[in-house]
Order: sequence, then C-alpha cells, then structure tokens
Amino acid sequence: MMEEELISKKDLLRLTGISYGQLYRWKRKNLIPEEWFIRKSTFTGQETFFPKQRMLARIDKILGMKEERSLDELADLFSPRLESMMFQREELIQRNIVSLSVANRYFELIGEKSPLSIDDVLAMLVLEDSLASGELTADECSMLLQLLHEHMDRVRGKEAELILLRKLGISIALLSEQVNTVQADPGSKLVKRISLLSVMEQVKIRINEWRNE
Amino acid sequence: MSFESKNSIHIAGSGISTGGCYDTVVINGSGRITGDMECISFTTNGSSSVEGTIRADRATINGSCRVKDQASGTHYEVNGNMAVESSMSVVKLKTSGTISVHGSLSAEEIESHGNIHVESNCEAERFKLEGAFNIRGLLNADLIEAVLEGNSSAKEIGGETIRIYGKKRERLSWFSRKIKYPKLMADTIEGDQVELEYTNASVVRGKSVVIGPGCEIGLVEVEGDYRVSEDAKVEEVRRIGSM
Repeated sequence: MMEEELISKKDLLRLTGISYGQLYRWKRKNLIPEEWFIRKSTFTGQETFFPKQRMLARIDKILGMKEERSLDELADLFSPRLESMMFQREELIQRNIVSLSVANRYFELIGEKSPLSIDDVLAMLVLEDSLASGELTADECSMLLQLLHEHMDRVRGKEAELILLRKLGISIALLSEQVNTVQADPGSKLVKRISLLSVMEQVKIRINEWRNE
Repeated sequence: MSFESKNSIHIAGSGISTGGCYDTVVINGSGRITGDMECISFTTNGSSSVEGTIRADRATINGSCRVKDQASGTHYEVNGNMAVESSMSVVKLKTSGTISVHGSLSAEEIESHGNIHVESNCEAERFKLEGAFNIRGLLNADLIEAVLEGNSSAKEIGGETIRIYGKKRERLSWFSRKIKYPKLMADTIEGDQVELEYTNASVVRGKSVVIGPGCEIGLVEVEGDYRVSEDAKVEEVRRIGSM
C-alpha cells in the first residue's frame, strides 16, 4: 500500500470547518469508514489521523450532497449493499477474490456468465473450499455446487449448510437450511460440511479489503 | 408447562421452546428458546434465555434475560438484567437495571437508570444516563448526558454535546466534602459543547469547554469559551484558533 499523507483530526476540522458533532455523526452513519480513523500516539497522547486526500474528497462529497439526500442515503452510496453489487469476472481474479483455476472450473459447471452477482462469488468460494480440502472428488464438488445453485434463493442469508455424505462408494449432496441438524447413520461417512454463512463472511472480508485498497 | 399456538409461545413455569417466527412470546417463570427467534412482542417476567439471535419489535424484560447471539429490533425495555453475548442494535433502549453487551451497542435513543456495560463501541443519537457506564471502545452520540451514580469509564467519548455531571449532593454538610464522588475515566473526550464534572481524562477537545469540580484533565484544547472550576486540575490549556 502506498504511503499516504495523513491529517490530524484537529487540522481536518479547521481546514474544512466541520464540527466534532458532524464528524462523529458521519462516523455513526458509516459515511466515513472505520479504517480511515488511524490512531497514533503523539507527545500529547493519542490522536486520530485520516488519509488526507481521501478524507477531504469524502467530506467534499458529503457537504455537496447533504442538502438533497439524507445521511442514510449517502451511506448507501458510499458503501453499496453487497446484494446489489455486480462484478466482472476479470476484476474478481485480478483482485484475488477468486483464483483463476476456481473461476474456470465454475464457468465449466454453470456456463459462461458476466457480470457476476454476489451469489456467484459465494458459490465460487464454496467451490474453492471444497476443492482445496482435497477430500472431495471433482464430481462431488460439482454436485455440491449444482445443488447450491438450484436452491440459492431459499438459503440466501440463512445459516444453511452444504453436506456431502458417502456410503458404499456412493456420494450424496445435501443442503440443510439449518446447521447441525442432519444426522447420518454410522455406516455412512460425513465427508464435508460447509457453513454458507461463514463462507459469506469470507466473501465480505475479501471484498472489503479490495474496496479499502 | 409450555403452550404453543401457531403464532405465539407462552411459557408459564418452566419450559423450553425452539426458535422461529411468532407474534407474541411470553415467558413467565423460566424459559429457554433454543434457536433464533423473531417476534412482534417479547415479554419475559422471571428468567429467560435465547440461545440464538432475537429480533423483536417490542421487548419487555422484567427480571433477567440472556441472549447468546445478536439482539435487534425496535423498542427494548429492560427492568432488571439483560446480557447480550454479541452485538445489539435497536431503535430505542430504555433500561432500569443492568445491561451488558459483549459486542457493540447501537440505538437511536438510549435512556438508562442503572448500569451499561459495552465491550466494544456504543453509538446513539441521544444517550441519557443516570447511573454508571463502562464502555471499552468509543461512546459516540449527538447528545450525551450522564449523571454519575457510580464509577464509569470509556476509552473515547465523542459527539456534539457532552455533559457529565457528578452525583447530586443530598445535603451539604461538613462531611460531604469527604465523600468520594463517583468518577468518569476517559482517554479523550471530544465535542462541540463539553461540560464535565468529576472526570479524569488525558485530553479534552472542544469548541466550548467547561471543566467543573472534581476533574483532572491533562490537556484541554479549546477553540471558543473556556471555563474551569477552582476544584479542578488542568495541567495544560491550548487555545486553538480557527482558520
């Protein structure tokens, strides 16, 4: 990451003429990302600094638009909800959100597609997870993925779980809308359990990292 | 006895129910909800626990309630004791008693007579309290008004108007000077209007700052009005000129 010029909170308020009240209100409304508040110790104790250029640009935008839009609308504008985001295949790969091999495998399975929704990114990470474990065959991975793909609408945002069972050489993929509710008989082997919520968290983390670069 | 109709749970005595979506949930006695729950109204008298998330339009907790995961909704009233082991986000929170949140607490309005413990940040438009608060992170509100009935702490406090008052003195007598008043400990306090009593802070920054009795402040940085009580210690004052 490039060294960016920092500005202290005090200087920022003086330069822009905004008040502590405004700054803290914008922080509460997530108009200014938490990561931009950089705490450093100085000889007077803790002080907060901001990335100067990005912060000045952001304040400029807020002040310019706050007449016609509410703070909540502005917050949406600055950090769009993931559900409505679309991605280009190339940028996902370039930003290391998914690897090239996983992406290629994904398109083989569901067909070429662009732009991609957040559901696709989730599915790709599920695929990555199941491929990486080395416990599943390629066929089993695609079985899980097909299943997820078909029922995505039902499990979106839920604490759902993908499960792969094997018995006597036959594998079965299951999708449960709750976690830890499925029991298998002792003769079958539970090969893989993937919690969709935790994969979704991973998706968010990767996308946020990219956004804050 | 636990009785469950299609849209409500009613536990009288002691009972267990699974989570789900309900109109009303009433627990009189002791009750346990074993999963995530969403309801319009949640009333508990006695002791209850929710072993998942809770989302309620209106929650009234008389007695004690423990929530394993997040608590959210509109209007929460706590008379007694509530512990949320994750974050809590509601519109209005009114408490008399103790509320402790292991994650962050956010609300439009917080009105408390009693104790508030927050492990992370606490955010509100209006934060009014008579009692004590312990906030590990930042207390951020447009209006913060607190009367200290017990020792309080916050790492940082920020907002527009911040008023911290010492406990009201019952009667002035010769020994009232010897009574130790509850204090607030904070690293930094920043606001447009800051009025403090019985507060220890390393740095106070504001447009107008009033340092009242019982304060010990390392550094005050002030742009406009500044007053300091005779019973306060301020090590350094810096005037900040506006540009």
